[in-house]
Amino acid sequence: MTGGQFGMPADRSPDMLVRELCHDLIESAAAIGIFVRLADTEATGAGLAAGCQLRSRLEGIAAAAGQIVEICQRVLEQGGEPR
Amino acid sequence: MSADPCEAAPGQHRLHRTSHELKQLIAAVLFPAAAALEEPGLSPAVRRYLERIVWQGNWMADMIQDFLRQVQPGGMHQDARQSGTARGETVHAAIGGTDVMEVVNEAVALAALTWPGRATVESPPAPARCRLHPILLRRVIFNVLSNATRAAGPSGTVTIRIRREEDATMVSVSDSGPGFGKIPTGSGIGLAAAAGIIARYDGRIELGSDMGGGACVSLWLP
Repeated sequence: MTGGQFGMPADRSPDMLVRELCHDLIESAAAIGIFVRLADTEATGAGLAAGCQLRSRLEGIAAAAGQIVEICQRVLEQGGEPR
Repeated sequence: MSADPCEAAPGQHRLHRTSHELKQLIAAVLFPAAAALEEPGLSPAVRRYLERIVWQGNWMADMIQDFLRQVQPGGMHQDARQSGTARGETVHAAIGGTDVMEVVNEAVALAALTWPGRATVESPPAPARCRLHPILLRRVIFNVLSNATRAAGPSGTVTIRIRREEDATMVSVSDSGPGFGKIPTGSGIGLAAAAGIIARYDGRIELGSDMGGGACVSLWLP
């Protein structure tokens, strides 16, 4: 590809839409993982996490975000079935 | 879309099943994040990160709804302005369109989480808006910026220029990478998706070279 106008993609099948969806979701899910780490570091530094539920909630969020990344990666690598 | 509805069905089923699974996981992000925000004694920084998590979760949920709309009978975004009800974005068309600068800034902030290079945004003093729904504009800008940061590499630069043309907002994204065709390409899904979205609004994407030899992607957004 060297330049010029880039046109509408021909493939708008549901399978292609699944791949597009996973492609676009994966960075947001990864970003959530980063925000969780930043929040956890910040809370630990401020001594907040010890006496409250924050840490377990952050762990739950990170696990869910990690599963989203896994599903999306599988769809993108295999081109179809998430499981 | 397949001409044979019987062939299309498994693909639709797959999209619905994957979407359902992803929505459940997004709920597993949003509920504890919302609960954590209610905890007493949070520092402003922790609160800010939790709010970003909620924002990302809502954005992902909106995006899934948008994809599901595309396979509903009647199909492809008859009116994309109906999207995004979760954050009341249906009003965006009534207030003059989507703020391009706001979306670009969101995308740059997100990219900065994982990319250590330098991004510069040049924009006009007056707001630049376009007709694309915020969900769709975010997908376009995030994809194009993601390609640019990957091409530029960790020590590279990306420049985003926004300007108003007669009947459109023009956004150009140029990077300090080696240019099109000189590095291993990604999946191509992101750029194709961006082109598809813009074409639905009668806009266009042009690929070219920056003066420094890097790639330049120009978006005309009506």
